Amino acid sequence: MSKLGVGYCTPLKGAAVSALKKDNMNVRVAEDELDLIKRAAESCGKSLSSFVLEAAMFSAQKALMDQRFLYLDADIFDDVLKQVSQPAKAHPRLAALMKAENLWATSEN
Amino acid sequence: MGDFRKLGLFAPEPLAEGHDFSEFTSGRPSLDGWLSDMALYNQRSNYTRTFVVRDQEFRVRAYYALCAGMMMRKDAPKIVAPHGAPAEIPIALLARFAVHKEVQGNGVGSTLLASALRMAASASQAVAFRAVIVDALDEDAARFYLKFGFKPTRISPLKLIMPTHDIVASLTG
Repeated sequence: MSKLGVGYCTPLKGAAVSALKKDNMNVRVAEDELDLIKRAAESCGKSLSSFVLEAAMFSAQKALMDQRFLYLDADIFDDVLKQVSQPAKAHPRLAALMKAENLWATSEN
Repeated sequence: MGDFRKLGLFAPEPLAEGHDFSEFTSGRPSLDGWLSDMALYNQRSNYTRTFVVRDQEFRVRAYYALCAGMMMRKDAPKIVAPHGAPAEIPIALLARFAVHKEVQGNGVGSTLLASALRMAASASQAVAFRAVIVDALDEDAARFYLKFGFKPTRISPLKLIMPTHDIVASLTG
């Protein structure tokens, strides 16, 4: 793999290729754009549909993870507000994890 | 207790120039690509703060990134509480979280999550926010976060939340 960065040429493993029921998605595309996408897919040795799907998945995941401002409908916002306004409660498993003392490598060993 | 010495892993430290992330492979291109393309730039420009677990050769073996965010109500609240019902909830976003394939399944992920949440709790003492939010990429990722107390929101079953005071309670309780 090149050092230029990870992209759509990298195979998405596991969850990315969902075993669930497939739906169709129709997209209108200009001829020259389609040509470009076909050439890129070919250069990675992928079918057009898997190339496009992987690229879209990559962008979709990025968009969701980058969402730092969330504009919420009033009822959803109020529910989330209620959620964070409950009395503080420790989570046993997290508390145990927080208390665990970890041994890490050091430059000496 | 986690003993990460046999894996040759160092305690989480801030991402810096000397780290090698060219071969980072978590199995999710969107997480790997971000580390190689954005993480250092974002670190320098204070957009996100990234901490890494690295090995002896400075190769990144796990990382997380935190940044500030905000949830906003589309309409102003109808009922005005004594102090005014808030129309905004400041949050910390666990924007990225990934473990290299080679060290997955050794407790590195859960230990790093605890470290990230401890860091978030400590940051919240200086800059207040009410919750940590994470967008799980799929059901498997969501199960990992739910195990440690994150809860689904009505925004999406994969948009998970943990109130800041719950993290603090887990730290001190």
